[in-house]
Amino acid sequence: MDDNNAKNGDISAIEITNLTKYYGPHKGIENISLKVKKGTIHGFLGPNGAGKTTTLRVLVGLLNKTSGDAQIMGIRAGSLDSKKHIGYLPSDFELYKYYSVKEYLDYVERLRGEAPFREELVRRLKLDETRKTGELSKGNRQKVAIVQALMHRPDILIADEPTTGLDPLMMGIFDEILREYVASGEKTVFISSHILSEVQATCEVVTIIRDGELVSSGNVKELLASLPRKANLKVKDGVDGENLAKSINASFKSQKEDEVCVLFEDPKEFMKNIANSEVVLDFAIPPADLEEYFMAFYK
Amino acid sequence: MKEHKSWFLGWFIALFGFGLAIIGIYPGEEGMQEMLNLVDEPIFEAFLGNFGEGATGYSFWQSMMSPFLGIVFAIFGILFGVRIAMKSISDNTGELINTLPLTRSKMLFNKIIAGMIFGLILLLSWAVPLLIPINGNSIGIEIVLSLSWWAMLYLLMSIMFGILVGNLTGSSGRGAQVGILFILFMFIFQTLINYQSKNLITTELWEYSKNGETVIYTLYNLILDINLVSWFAPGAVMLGNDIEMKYIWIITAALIIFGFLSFFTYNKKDLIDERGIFSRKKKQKGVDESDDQSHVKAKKSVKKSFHTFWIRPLEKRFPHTADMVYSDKRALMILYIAIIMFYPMQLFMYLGDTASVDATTALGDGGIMAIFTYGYDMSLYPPWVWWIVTQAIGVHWMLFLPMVVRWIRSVPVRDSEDGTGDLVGSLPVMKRTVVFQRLLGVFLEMIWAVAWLVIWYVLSVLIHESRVGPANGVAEEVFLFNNPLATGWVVIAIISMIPLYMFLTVMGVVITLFFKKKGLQYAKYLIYIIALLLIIAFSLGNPDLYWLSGIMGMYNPVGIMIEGSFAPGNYGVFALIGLTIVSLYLIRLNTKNFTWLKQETKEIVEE
Repeated sequence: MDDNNAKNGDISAIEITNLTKYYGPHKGIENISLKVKKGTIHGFLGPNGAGKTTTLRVLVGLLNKTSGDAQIMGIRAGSLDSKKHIGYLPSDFELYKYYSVKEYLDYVERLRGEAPFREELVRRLKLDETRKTGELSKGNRQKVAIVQALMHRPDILIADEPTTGLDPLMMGIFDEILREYVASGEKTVFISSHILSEVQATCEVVTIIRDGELVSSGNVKELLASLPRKANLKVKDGVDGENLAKSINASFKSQKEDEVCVLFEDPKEFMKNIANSEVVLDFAIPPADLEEYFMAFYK
Repeated sequence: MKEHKSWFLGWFIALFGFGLAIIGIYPGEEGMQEMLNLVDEPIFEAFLGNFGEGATGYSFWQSMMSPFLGIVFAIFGILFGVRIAMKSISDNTGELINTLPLTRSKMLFNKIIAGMIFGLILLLSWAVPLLIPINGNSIGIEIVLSLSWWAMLYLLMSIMFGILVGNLTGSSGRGAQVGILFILFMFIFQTLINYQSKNLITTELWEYSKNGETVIYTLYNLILDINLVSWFAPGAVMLGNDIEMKYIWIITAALIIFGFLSFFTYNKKDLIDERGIFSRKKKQKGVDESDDQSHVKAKKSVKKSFHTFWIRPLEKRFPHTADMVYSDKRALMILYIAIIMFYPMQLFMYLGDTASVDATTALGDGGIMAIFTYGYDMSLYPPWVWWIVTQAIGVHWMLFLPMVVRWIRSVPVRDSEDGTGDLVGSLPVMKRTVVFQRLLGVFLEMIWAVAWLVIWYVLSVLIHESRVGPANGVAEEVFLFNNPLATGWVVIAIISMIPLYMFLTVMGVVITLFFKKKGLQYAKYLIYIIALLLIIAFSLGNPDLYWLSGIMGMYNPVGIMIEGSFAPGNYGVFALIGLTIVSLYLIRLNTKNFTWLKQETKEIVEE
């Protein structure tokens, strides 16, 4: 696997093929397949209970797969060697409460063998290393988890809802850290979240799962471009939104008094139809929204 | 009540089982006659009080088994009080529950009612066996009823005290530790004062002070009266005496005071942080509370503790070993305090008074004493040897079995149960390495504790024997300088406990790993059964049944020190070493069952 990828110059940071995980009779995930290219920030979306955490836990070796294959840098996921390439940031965790922050990070550094990025991360995240981990707020614990995940400059950061508990300022700092991290093209981030605006702003590629199964995957811009666009029209009193939508070759979405929301496919044709309409007084086309795309799978 | 159900079940089984065991080993009225002949000895007055009318062999038997009941009920009540006050904070369930439209006082009151129901059930587990007529008369319904309402009052007072301790310390863990230490200290203090009050340096001085109502006598009695552990002492009532009403008044007063303080502090403290009521609130600058913490004094590092500093040189080479020791810091502290209580304090109490020594020796090795003497007839040996055995050497299981129960959880399942496995489990560490390095930590902790046992034993004997000397009836052969060989065998006997407790720990880890989800439960039950077998085997007083002591009996410290050989216990120490090695191999085969995740998502991951 390694030789082929090297030859092709196309090494996937993460490669999952028909990955399935059952908890007894209960399905966790089923036949998930995806590739995460090196040097990208790849989003992994899904509602609560979709199977995101299960997938991530299989990748980092905390859970055993039922069937299928998962590889990290061409190495079997969960193996000792694969763990050397990753940094993991879980959504739900506890720290050893008898340590201070410094002692806990020392412990992790000892097990990792190195931590060149530690000081800078501690400084940027404004983490007080003298505090006992048991005394930390959720947000500060999250910061500790971020530091321990990134301090050894792993090839791949696997993060499960990483900004939970962080204030907007820290979220911004974290985003900045992520962007700098992948800027070289050598590092990869695989991030699961349900904060769509954040994913849209950060990720280049996104995969969506629902009920343990993959429903969509692709470049964010391309996905958004594939969506029907939304337009908010201000119309004259008494205008029926549904009829209006038919007349301008759009799909009716909703109407509230003199505001009608429609969906259209072809922007040029839409603009021409709007211009020719006598009942449309004004219109606005908001930017394409990942939430629209995401919600389309849940209607 | 559901919240505390499984915790309570352990207590119920233990107390009920103990009650049945006591009935089971009752020697009968005839067998009790010899002991009844000793009732005039002053030592009995010291421990049991005077005999009243209607005292029977069975009531005497039960009264002899009851000295620890005050401690048991106190510990139960305090631990339960700490739990009902603090558990919801410590396990993070409180944030939802404590925001419901109920006053805090009402919430606490409801929890106390639950506590009383549990207490009543616990009481029944103790009281019902008292009524069962076995080989003679039962205690009698009247005595049991009067004891029961006394016990309920005492339990309620202990629960209130526990709530107060929980509120002051801020967490269920700290509260439980403070509570247990407090009770242990009170018990040792009570025993010390009680015994000392009857056996001062010279009997004449004591008699003078008692009859002359001196300050010393008054002070001793006052110290006894304010000791919480001494307020429930059913032995005297079982012997046909009336309940001393002053203790009822003391308990009632304490109940009111503790009750008021516990409700007051519960209403005042924060209910979402593990912070005592007197903890300083942290200053916050804006949203980011980590700014400028210079005014907050850094807490002492776990690595700088007296109980853990010695592992630091091994941190780099054996990080999980060091981590294991650091995580056990509080447990090692409690163990160390218990060692101090049993070794120097208890050994120091021995005064060498001939009359007391004779009476003490008369208690011999029968009944419950046999658990400490391993069935040896101590009347054949100098009284000092009896004292060492029953106060220090023979009580090793009280010190180390609780640690074993802790270790068999810490090594294999600590991370999955505490939720710390998500982070640590993703690190490039092999599970086998983690398990074996943690076991190495256990081994080193045992060496540390045993080293202190040896040090305190030698120091205590040195100091004490230099004071007492042979003139007071202490045989020369046990003097440190006169017979280093004898002392050497005592030290060897102490050190030889390491294979026993290593084996118990390693065996427990094997069971925990092998049986996965239920493994820890099975391992704990097995440890309890092993301990119970030791008690039963020697309490029966029949040498033909000593084999029942099983694994615990393979380590016979009394035999080792007295006979100067490993033959007692059939060289069991060496067998234990062998069994430990075999168990380590079994662990190696089962480390694949080690999991990092919480119980409901546990899966086996192959490395």
